[in-house]
Amino acid sequence: MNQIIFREKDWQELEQYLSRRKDVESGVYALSKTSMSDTTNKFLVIRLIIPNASDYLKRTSVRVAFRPEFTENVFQQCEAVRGHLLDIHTHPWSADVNFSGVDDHEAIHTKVPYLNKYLPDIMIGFIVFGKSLAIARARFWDKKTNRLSQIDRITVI
Amino acid sequence: MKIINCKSTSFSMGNINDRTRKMICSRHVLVFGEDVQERISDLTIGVVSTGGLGTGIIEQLMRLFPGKLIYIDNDIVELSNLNRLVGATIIDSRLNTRKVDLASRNILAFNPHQEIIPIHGDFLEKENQEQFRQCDFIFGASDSDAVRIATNRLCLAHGIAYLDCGVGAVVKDGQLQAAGGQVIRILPDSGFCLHCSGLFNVEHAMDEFLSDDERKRQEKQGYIRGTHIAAPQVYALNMMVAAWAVWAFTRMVSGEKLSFDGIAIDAKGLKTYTWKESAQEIHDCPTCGRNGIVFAGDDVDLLCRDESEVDRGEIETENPTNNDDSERVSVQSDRDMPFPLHQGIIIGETMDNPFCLRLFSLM
Repeated sequence: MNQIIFREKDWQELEQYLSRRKDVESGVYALSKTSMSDTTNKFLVIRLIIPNASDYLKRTSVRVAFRPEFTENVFQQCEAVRGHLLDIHTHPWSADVNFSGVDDHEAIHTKVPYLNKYLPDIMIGFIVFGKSLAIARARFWDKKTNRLSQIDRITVI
Repeated sequence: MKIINCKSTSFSMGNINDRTRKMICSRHVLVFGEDVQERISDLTIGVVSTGGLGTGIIEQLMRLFPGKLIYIDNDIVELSNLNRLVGATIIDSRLNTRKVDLASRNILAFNPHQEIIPIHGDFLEKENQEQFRQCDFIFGASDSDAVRIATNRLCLAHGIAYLDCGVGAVVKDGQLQAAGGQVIRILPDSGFCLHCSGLFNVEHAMDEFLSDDERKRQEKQGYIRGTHIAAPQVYALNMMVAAWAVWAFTRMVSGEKLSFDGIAIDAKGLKTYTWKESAQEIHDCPTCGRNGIVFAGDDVDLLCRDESEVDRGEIETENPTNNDDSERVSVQSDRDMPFPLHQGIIIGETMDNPFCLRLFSLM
């Protein structure tokens, strides 16, 4: 069982931000700690990093990308807390959400290789939300298997 | 059958026939809804201690068809337990049946396909406590303050919802003074936990963290009192608290925002109260405060016996015979304590759980 666990107050903040714009995709980073056991991998969200409008490099109805300086700052915060990274974005039109081809390509060919090369201690996970936060898909880069593994559940407590 | 380790056995035989399960669940699905039932069936639920209260909780949980049940106890069934252990018989006391095996027997008689991990052992041992990290919910049903504070820490660090349950009765000169129990809900954003709210007895906890040998030595020398004080116990009280705990659990799984942190049951006065802890604005609790261990996951050590023994050797007097609690506090060093001493409250020798009395005193 792989899961991501949010605290109620973080979840509310996330919901508030991501549901603000329905015409374009929105993105957020979250820092997490992990609780790994033989049977369960938990990502425990400890901080949300919500971008300002100026932190977006590209923000359309089919793509979202951040300015490098914003992303670099996120990496630094992640290193400072010895945490792991969750890359969150929306497909605000989607009733049955899934990661797009663009998402797959960016994850496998850009984000994961970059982190593996420069910040090898940081794990990365991805969440995509659909029309609402009740519709989601999530996955993480499993360093043991060197592939993306599905996250089974997002829990808010 | 899958063996996890020498102390744990996991039975995983797939799901019960779906039609049968739906029939069994059909009446409570009318109350909760299908989606809540599905959520419950996906959860891993822990029960710490399978005594009277723990078996009562399990009795009710198993009928909700949870995904997996993990439970622990290091005790065996004795004659004096039979008045309150669900499903226990006089034969169990003669055969020295382990309490976790009794719980397993109850569960598997109801649902042979229920996935379970029974652990006959001490929760304060690291390898046992590690098993509970996979839980989504933990019901604390132990009368040990050390176990309660360790569970509190485990849950807050690893993102597990915690319902701390306790039952007690106070009898003085043959008269019932108080009886009841409580369910305390501890979540990462509660703004309080057992550690900072004085909801457990530090002195008792420290004694319980000692190894068996060290505890015996200190009992002999008079530093701590004997730990085998028979507490008044009634089946009905256990089931009352168990029912409230499991009911609160179902409301939480349904996504309802509960407006209280605790439920207190005054069984003597036949009343139930809800209670809300006032969260502190500047919150420096080393467990749930801003620099605490909430959601720290693998970064923090679990609170286990071998890592938290208190060295009282240096503060021993030549003839330590005083058993009085207040005296004991004054000679104790907090140098190696896993939590500060001043949080402690010392109430009622015969109480399973001191919080009960504290609540009653507030009403």
